[in-house]
Amino acid sequence: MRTLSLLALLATAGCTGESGPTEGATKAWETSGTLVIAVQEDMDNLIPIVSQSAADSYVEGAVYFGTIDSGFDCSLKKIPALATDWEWSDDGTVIKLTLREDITWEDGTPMTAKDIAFSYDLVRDPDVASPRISYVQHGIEGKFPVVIDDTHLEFHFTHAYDRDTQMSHITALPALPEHLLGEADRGSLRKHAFGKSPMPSGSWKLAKHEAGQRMVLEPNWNFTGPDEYKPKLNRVILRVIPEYATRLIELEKGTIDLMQSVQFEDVDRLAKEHPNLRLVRRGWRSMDYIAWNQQNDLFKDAKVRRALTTAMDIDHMMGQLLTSESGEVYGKRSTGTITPALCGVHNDDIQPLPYNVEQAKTLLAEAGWTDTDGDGFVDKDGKKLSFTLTTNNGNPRRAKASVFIQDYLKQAGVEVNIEQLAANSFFENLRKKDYDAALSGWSAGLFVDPSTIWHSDVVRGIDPQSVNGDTPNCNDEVTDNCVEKRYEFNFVSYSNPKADELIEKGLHTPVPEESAPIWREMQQVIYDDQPYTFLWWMDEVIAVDSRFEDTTINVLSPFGNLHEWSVPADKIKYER
Amino acid sequence: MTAIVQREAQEAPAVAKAGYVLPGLGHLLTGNVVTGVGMLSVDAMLIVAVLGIPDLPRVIAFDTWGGIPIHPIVAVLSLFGIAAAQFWTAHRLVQPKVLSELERNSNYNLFIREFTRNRTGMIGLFGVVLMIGVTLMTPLIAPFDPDDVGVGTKLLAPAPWAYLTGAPDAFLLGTDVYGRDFFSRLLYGGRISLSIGFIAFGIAASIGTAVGAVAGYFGAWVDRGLMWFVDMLLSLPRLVLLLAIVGMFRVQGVKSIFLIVVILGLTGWMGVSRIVRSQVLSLKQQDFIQAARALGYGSTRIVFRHLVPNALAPVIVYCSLAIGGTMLAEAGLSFLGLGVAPPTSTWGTLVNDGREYLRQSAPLTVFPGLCIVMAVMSFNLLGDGLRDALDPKLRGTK
Amino acid sequence: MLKYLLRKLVLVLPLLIGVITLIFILIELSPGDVADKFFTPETTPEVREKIVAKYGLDKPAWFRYLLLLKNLAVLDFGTSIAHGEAVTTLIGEALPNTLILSVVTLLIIYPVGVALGTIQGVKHGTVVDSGASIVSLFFYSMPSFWLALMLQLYFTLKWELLPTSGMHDPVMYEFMSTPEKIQDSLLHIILPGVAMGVASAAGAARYMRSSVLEVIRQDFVRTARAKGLPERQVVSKHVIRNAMLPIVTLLGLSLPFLFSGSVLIETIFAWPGMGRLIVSAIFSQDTPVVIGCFFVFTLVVVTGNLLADIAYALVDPRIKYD
Repeated sequence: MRTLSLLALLATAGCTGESGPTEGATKAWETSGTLVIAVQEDMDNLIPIVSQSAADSYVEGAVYFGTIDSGFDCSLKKIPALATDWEWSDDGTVIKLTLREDITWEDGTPMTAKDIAFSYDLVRDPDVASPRISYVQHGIEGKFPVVIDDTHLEFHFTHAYDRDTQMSHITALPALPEHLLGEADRGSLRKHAFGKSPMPSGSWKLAKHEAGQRMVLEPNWNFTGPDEYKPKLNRVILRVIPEYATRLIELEKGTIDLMQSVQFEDVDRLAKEHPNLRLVRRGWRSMDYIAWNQQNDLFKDAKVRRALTTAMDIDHMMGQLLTSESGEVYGKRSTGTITPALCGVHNDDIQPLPYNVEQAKTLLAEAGWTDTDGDGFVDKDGKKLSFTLTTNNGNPRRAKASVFIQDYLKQAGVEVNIEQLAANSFFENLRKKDYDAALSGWSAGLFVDPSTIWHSDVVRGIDPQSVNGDTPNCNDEVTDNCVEKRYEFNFVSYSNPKADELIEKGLHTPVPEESAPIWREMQQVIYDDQPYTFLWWMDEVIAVDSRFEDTTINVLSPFGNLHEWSVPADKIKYER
Repeated sequence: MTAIVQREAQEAPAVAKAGYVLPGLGHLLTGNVVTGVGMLSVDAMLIVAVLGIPDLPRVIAFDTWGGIPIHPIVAVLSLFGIAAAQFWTAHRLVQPKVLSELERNSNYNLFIREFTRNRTGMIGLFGVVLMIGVTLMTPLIAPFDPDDVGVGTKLLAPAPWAYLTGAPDAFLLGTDVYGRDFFSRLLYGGRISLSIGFIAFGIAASIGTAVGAVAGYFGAWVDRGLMWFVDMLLSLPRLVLLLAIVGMFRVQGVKSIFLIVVILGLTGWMGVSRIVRSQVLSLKQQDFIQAARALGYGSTRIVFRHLVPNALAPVIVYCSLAIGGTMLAEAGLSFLGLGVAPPTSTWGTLVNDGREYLRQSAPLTVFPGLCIVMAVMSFNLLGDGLRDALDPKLRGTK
Repeated sequence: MLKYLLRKLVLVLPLLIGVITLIFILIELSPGDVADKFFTPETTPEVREKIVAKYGLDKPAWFRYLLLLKNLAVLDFGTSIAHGEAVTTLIGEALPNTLILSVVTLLIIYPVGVALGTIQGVKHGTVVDSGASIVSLFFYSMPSFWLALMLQLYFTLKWELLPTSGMHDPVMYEFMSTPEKIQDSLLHIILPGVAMGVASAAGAARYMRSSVLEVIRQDFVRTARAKGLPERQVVSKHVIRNAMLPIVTLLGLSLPFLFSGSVLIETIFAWPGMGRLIVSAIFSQDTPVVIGCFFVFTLVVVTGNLLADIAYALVDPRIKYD
C-alpha cells in the first residue's frame, strides 16, 4: 500500500504545472523534429520590461515578434520584422517606423503601434522600476514614441548619436499587449501571471514550463505573420542543467542537442569521439585586460604602463590559457575595447606591443625606476616598484593569468602581489577605484559607445546590459556583466583630451561609414596611452548536433532564428 | 611475579631519567630494544614536526613552497616503513612484560589492551598516523612545487610507470588543467584539509565542552536555555547554515581559510555540548564533586578542574568521529565554490576544480575524493575503536 | 500522549522564532542591501525611494524584525527579489521535489542499511561483521557530491544504465502512458536518491549494529534462548523488534542531514528542489527566500522529529508520556 501511494506521489510530482501536450490547436502547417537545448538557469519572467536572466531573453526572442530583427556581419544589420520600413529625419533626431498590419496576438487582437508605445510607457514608469530605463534616457518624454496611427509611429530623440545605438534603443523592447496588461498594477508587474505564460505574437509559444526543469516551445499555430517565420521544428525544449559536467555528459549521451560554452579542453575530444556534433565558434565575445589605476602614483606615467605591457609574454599566455590540446587558439590579442567582430570599426593596424623584457627595463629606467639596491626589484626614491594585482575568484583563467603575470613582471624587476576577491567585492572596489591593478574583463558591445569606459567626463555609467543591447549570458562569464555596474566604468580614471574629442565627434556622427575612421583613430590614441594592458578576445564554442540544418549561431545569439532550424525527415530522432 | 615487580622498582629511575631526555631511550637502555626503537621513531617524526613549525605560518597561508625533490616513492615507502614500525611497536608496548599486576588492571591499561585488540580501531589509528606523517613530511615528499604552473603540459594522464622510469613530461598522478603536478597538489591539499579539520574541530570541541559543562552543572533555566539553543542549531541543516553564513558574508581572499575554520568550528559544537552535558549530569551526583562542593570550591573550579577532565573520554571519541564530519562539511562548502581561495587547495576544492574536467581527466576528481573517503574513514575507525575500548559493556566480547 | 504532543508543539514555536531571529541577525550583519538588486545607474531618486519603501528598508531593524514575525505568523513570506514571485509559490514548487527525493531515499535505501546493521549485530565479531563495517563506513565517510559525480560518470555515461539528470525524460515524458511515466520517474530518482541517501543509510547500519548488540545482551533474549527458541526466531521476534526502536528516532533526526545533502545533489542532478532554491537565494542575497527556506526547513525537521516521537510511542508501549 505504501509503495502504491508513493508511486502515485511520484507520478503527480512529475506532472506539476503541466498542461499536457497542446490539444485543440490543430497543426496549421507541417513541422517535425525536436531540438533540446541546455541552459544553466530557469526563466523567471517573460515581460521584457523587467526580465533579467539569460533564459528569459531566449524565450522572449522566440515568443514575441520583434519590431526590427538584427543580423550581424561586421556590424549590426537591421532586418525588417514588425517594422517593414523606417526613415530618419535629416538631423538624425526622429525616426519614423511603418509597421505590418498582419501580425496579431494569439487571441486574434492585432498588434499595433499602440502596443509598442505601451512597452515604452511601462519602461518609463517609476512604479515599474525597469532595469531597461536607459533605453528611454535620450528620448524626449511624451514623444518617445508618438503614435500616428495603428501602423505608423515616431521616436523623438533629444539629440542625434550613433545610429546603431539609437536603433537598438528603440528596437530592443518588443511590443506588449496593451489589451491584456493595460490594467495591470504597475508596482507588481513582476508578479503578473503574464510573466509566466505570455501571449505570443511571434512564431513560438511557451507550451509548458516546469519550474527548474524545462521550458517547452511549440509553434504558435495562430501565428499570422509571413510564412518564412513559421517554425519547421515540432518543439524546442530548453532544459535547465546547472552543472557543466552534467551538461557535458548529457551532450555526449545525445540527450541534449545544443550546449553553450564548451571548454577548450573538451573541444578536441568531442570532435574526435562524437562525429555527430558540430562545434561552432562564436568569435570574440569577451575580453580580458589589466586595468592600471591612475589614481595610484605608480601608474600615472604612460611609460611605466607601456613597460609593464612590454614585460608580459601575452602570446605565450594565450597558448596556455585559450588553446585546445591540438594547439588551436580560441582567441585573439586585444588592442582595445572594440571587438574585432565589428570589422568595419576595429582598427586592425594597431601593432600590439611585442614582448621584450630588456626594453621594459629600459622604459622603466627612463621613468626613473632602476634597481639601486640590488634586491632584484627596481626602485625609485628608496621604494621598490610593488603593487597588488586584484582579480575575482571563481575564474580559473584569470587566476592562472595572474600567476603568469606575477612571474613575467618579476623578471622585469616588478613585484606583484596577487589578491583574489569575491566577485561582488571586486567590482565594488573597481567602482570605488580602491585597487592598484585589476585583472578584469568586458563583454563585447555590438555597437560603438566607448564613452562609458574612456570618456573623462563620465560621471555615471550605463548598465552593460543596455549598452550591449543583448543580455549577456551571466553564467559562463561568471561576473563581467552580472554584477550591477551602477556608476562609473572609467575605473582607471583615464583622461586624454584627444580621446575625449574623438569620442564626442564619433558619437555625434550618425552615419557609420563616417564615424568608423574616427573610432579607428580613437583606438590608436588609447592604445598608445596603455590605460589598460589589453590581453585577449576570447571565442565561445557551441556544440550542436549536426542533424539540424539552417542553424544560426553567431555573435548575436547562440541559437538565433529558431524558426529556420529544421531536421531532414530521415534524421528525425524523437518519434511520437 | 614478585621478582618482576622488584626489578621494575629498582630499574625504574634509570628508565625514567633516560626517558626524560628522549622518550624511548630509556627502553633502549634497559634492553627493551623493540619498544625503544619504536618510540624513537615516533620521536623522529615529532622532531620533523617541530622542524616544520617555522613553516607553519606558510602552511596556513599556503605560501608557495619550494619542495625538496626527494623521489616520492622512496619517501612514501620509508614513511610506510616508519608507520609500520610504530604500529608494531604500539603492539609491543601493550604486551607488557614488565608491568606490575596493579598496572595491568588499571583503567588505562585495560583501555589500551582493548583498543589494540580491536582490529579496525588499529587500522584507523594506522591511517590517522600515516596521514599526519605524510602531512608533516609533505615538503620532503612532494616532487614539485604545487603551484608551479610550468612543470608540465596541462591535463596529462597519470603515468606512474613512465614517471618512475624517468620519462620526461610524465607525472605520477598526471597534471591538472594548469599543468601543475597533481600528486604534489594532492599532498599539499591534504595538509590544508587536515589542518582545517583539526583546528575547526578544536574550536568546536572547546565551545561544546564549555557549553555542555555549564548547562549540565548549573541545570535549571541555564540548562534549558542552552539546550534550546543547541536544539535549534541542530534542527538546521549544517551545510545550509554554513552556506548562509559564508555566502552572505561573501568571505573573500586569503583570509578565507581562517574564516572558514572559525565558521566550521562555530557550527560544529552542538554534538559535543550534548555529550558533555549528559556526562556532567551523571558525574555531578558523584562523591568527589560533592566533596569539592563541601570544600567550598567555586563553580568555575569545579566545572573546569573536576567535571570536564572526567567527562573527556566520550568527548575524545566523539571528536575523532566529528573531525571526519568537519572535513566533509568543508568539502561540501568547497563544492559550492565557497572553500578556501586558490591557489590554496584542500581535497574538497580539488574535487570541485576537477569536476569541470570530469570527462577529460577523471583522476582529477577521483583521487581527491578517495583521499577524503580514506581520511574520514580513518578517523571514524579510530573513533569506533576508542568507543569500543572505552565501553566496559563491550569488553571481552571477542 | 495528547498532553505530551501539546507540550512538544508549544516548544516548536520558540524554536521557529529562534531560527528566524538567528537568520535575521545574520542577514542584518551581512554587507549589501536587498534593494541593491534594483538599482541601476539610471535609477532616479524617486524610484529608489519607492523601492526602499516597498521593502520597508527605511524602517529601523527592530521594526522590520517585528514585521517579519507578524508576516510569518500568517505564513506570508513576501516576494522573492530575484524572481519577483511570491516566496510561497517558489517553495511550493520546490519543496515537494525535495520531499519526494528524501522520502524515497528513506523508504528504499534506509531499510537496506538497517538490514545490514542487523546482520552485523547478530554476527558480531565475525568476518562478515568487520567486512560490512568497513563497507558501511566507506560509504558513511564519502562526500555525497563526489559519489554523485562518480555515479553519473559510470552509471549514465560509461555503462548507460540510467538517465543522467532531471526528474523525468525531457522529450518523451508527455507522450508516455501512466505506467511508463512512473517507470521513467523511478529511473530518474535512483541516482540522486542513492547519492543522497547512502551516507545516512550507512549511518543507520552503524546505529542498528550497536542497537542490536545492546539488545542481544539483555535478559529477555537470554530467556528466549533458554526456553529453546531457535536462534532465527530469537533474532527476528525479539532482537530486531526491540533494536528497531531507536532507529525510528534516527529516521526523524536524519532529515537535516538529507537536506544538507540536497544542496549539493540537486545541483548535480538538475533536480529542482529546495537545495537549489536556497543556494541561488543565498548567492543572490534574496532575503525573503532565504528566510522562507529556513522557516520551512525547520518546520519540516521539527515535524519529522515529532512524527518520530509519535511513532516511537506507538511502537513502544513501555513509554508513557505525561
